Amino acid sequence: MATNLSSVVRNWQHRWRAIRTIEKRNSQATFFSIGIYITVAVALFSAALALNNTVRSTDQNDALVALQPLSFAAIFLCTALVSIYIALTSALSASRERDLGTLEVLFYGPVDEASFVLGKFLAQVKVYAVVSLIVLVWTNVITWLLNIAFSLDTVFVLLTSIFVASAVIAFGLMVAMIGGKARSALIAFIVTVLVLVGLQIADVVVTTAIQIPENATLTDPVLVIRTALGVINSVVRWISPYAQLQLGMDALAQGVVPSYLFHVGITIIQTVIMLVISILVLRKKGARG
Amino acid sequence: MSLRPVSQFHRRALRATALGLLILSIILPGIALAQDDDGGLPEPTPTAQPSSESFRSATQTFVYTTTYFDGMQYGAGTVPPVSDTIYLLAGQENIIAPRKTYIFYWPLTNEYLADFRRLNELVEGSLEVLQNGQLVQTVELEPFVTKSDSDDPVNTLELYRGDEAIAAYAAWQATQSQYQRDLLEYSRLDDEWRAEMMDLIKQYGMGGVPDEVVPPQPVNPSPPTIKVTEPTDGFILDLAPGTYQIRVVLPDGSVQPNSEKRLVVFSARREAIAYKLIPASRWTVPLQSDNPISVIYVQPDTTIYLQPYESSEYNERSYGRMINPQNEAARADRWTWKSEGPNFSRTLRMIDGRTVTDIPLTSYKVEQRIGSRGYDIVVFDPAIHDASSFGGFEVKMRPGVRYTVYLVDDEGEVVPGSEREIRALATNQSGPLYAMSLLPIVVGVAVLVFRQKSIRQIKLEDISQ
Repeated sequence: MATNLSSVVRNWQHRWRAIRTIEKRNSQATFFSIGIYITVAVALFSAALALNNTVRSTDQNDALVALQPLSFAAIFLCTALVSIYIALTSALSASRERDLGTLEVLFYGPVDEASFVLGKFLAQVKVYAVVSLIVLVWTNVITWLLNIAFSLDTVFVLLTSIFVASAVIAFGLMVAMIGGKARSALIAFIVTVLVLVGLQIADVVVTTAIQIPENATLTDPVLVIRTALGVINSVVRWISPYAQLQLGMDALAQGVVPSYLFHVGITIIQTVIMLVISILVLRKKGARG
Repeated sequence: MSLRPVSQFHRRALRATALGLLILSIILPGIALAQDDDGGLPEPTPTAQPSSESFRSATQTFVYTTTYFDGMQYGAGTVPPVSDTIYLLAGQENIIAPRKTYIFYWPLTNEYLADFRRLNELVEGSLEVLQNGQLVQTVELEPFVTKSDSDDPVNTLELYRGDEAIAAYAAWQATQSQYQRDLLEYSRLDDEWRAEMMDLIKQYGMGGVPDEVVPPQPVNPSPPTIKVTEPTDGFILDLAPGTYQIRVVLPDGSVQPNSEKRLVVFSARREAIAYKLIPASRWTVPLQSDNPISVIYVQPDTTIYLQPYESSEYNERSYGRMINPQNEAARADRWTWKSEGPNFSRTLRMIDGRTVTDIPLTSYKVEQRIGSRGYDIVVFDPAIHDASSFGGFEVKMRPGVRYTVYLVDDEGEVVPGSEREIRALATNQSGPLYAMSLLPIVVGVAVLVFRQKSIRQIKLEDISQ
């Protein structure tokens, strides 16, 4: 029994070393490429654009009542854009290693399916954690610059965004493992993310921007669309990490801590499930796909 | 060659499917029409003359009418058979009444309406309220009235039931009769006074009547401000939050058809003070700050006025369907704040760092500028102005300030849910805002330069070795 336990511990020590090596190699590759910095800059610029629009609206109307800290929307935008880029990088890198046969070579060494997937995963999580530090600095400077209300919730939202990005990265890896070739993985990932984000945005637009009269019947086209989107989103919200981020932000803004923790928990469960699926699929398909 | 029979089979299958669909498309509308014929409510019929068509297709049926308390006043609604649930506020006396009437579909507003002028018959019986199949309460019909003072309808609203309702209505009728008599008496006295004045004018000439001989003018009696509704019978319910089932049991012990409904009794999720926010530059277009967690951002160097209101947050669907049982737009997953009358606190405490300022509730008059566009908001002066335009707490914003405000009651206590943060938003920082977005590029370039230098250093070291 004791021998079994010590062999398991030893196995995991070896695995952890392999994970660390893959993680270091991949994170450095991302850090030493300009792509991530351009993506973060684009994300922050988009956030600045949205924020400036709010500021201009206040300027024109003399006042604004904000239900959530103004930085929340900016963080959401940054999380969405940066996590997609990072997950895409992760998915492409994993697919390419299989396409080029590097994965097979690695498997002859001390690398197994779990260490490969977890190494790739942790590398991009590390990259996102560093990015979130840049976003935190940016948020604080903007808060001071515009005299926006600082809220400790902003830090919590940024922490949550790391979990959300983790789920998106895990999803990217899962798609890469299932999808096989790099091109297929790329298409599958982009389509799925666009559908998830699109559904969420469409629901928000139909719910908030379009006024439905009280006397609308169930056959009213807008009401039909809204109902359909509502039903689809009631399912999608459990799948989409972005929906969980939105719900977590709402819970934080309302000060409902259990609800916030619940949504963080859901995101972690999503991540774990997708990582396990990735490992199992890789184990089943093998290094050559 | 071997594929040929399969493709023929496919062709046949396609033809059969198309034929099947054609037959179904003919049969299904027929089935649907046949189902429509066997009783039930009339279906919406598109017509150029909705009124005549709709009235012709009106069906005599059982409905509940509701007299619901919406947090501020009583409203009335009709629950047609298509609505299977009634929504009412918890901890309040609400009334539902069983009636027989004609129901017709009104295409202009997409809803079923009741024609109470044609038939408005109270159904005698008792109301059984059940919860999880267990009888919770049996309620008998009893008369009720609502009474309020039109000068302050929210704070004077009362519901009277049973004999008290009859007595309240009788008292109101007596007051009305007395007012009619006083009005007649005033009219008579006024005629007499005018005749007397005419005589005096004839005697002394126009403008020459001495003040001491002018008789006192009769005073017009003020109309009573108390309003009492006509007594009607209904089941008065005051239930705790929850989901119930209701049904009307007729005197013979049978259950009235169509009377079985779900009753959702709901309460407010949160209560707070809402503020109507009036920017001085656009006083007719106020903003609303309902939620205590909301932050108010204001442009620097502007003045805003805050009007406090009592407010409660309800489930959008529950509240919406209480007001209109046929409301399909209200969503169950959303919440809505409802104003429930003004708050009468007279002081707003404003904290700016260590400085505490008490702002008194003040009435203001909006004065139109003569000869130019625009207006000025000045403090209302009864000696100069006939009526105030609005009342509120004045907050003047300076650049870069952050105020915390809350209401203080007469005992000096903070009014719960009245706290708000008001900030002067820096609206001229677009340049630095965008410039800050380039920060990651700077970091990226620095990292890449450092990386290139390191690689060059390693290569140089290799060459030197």
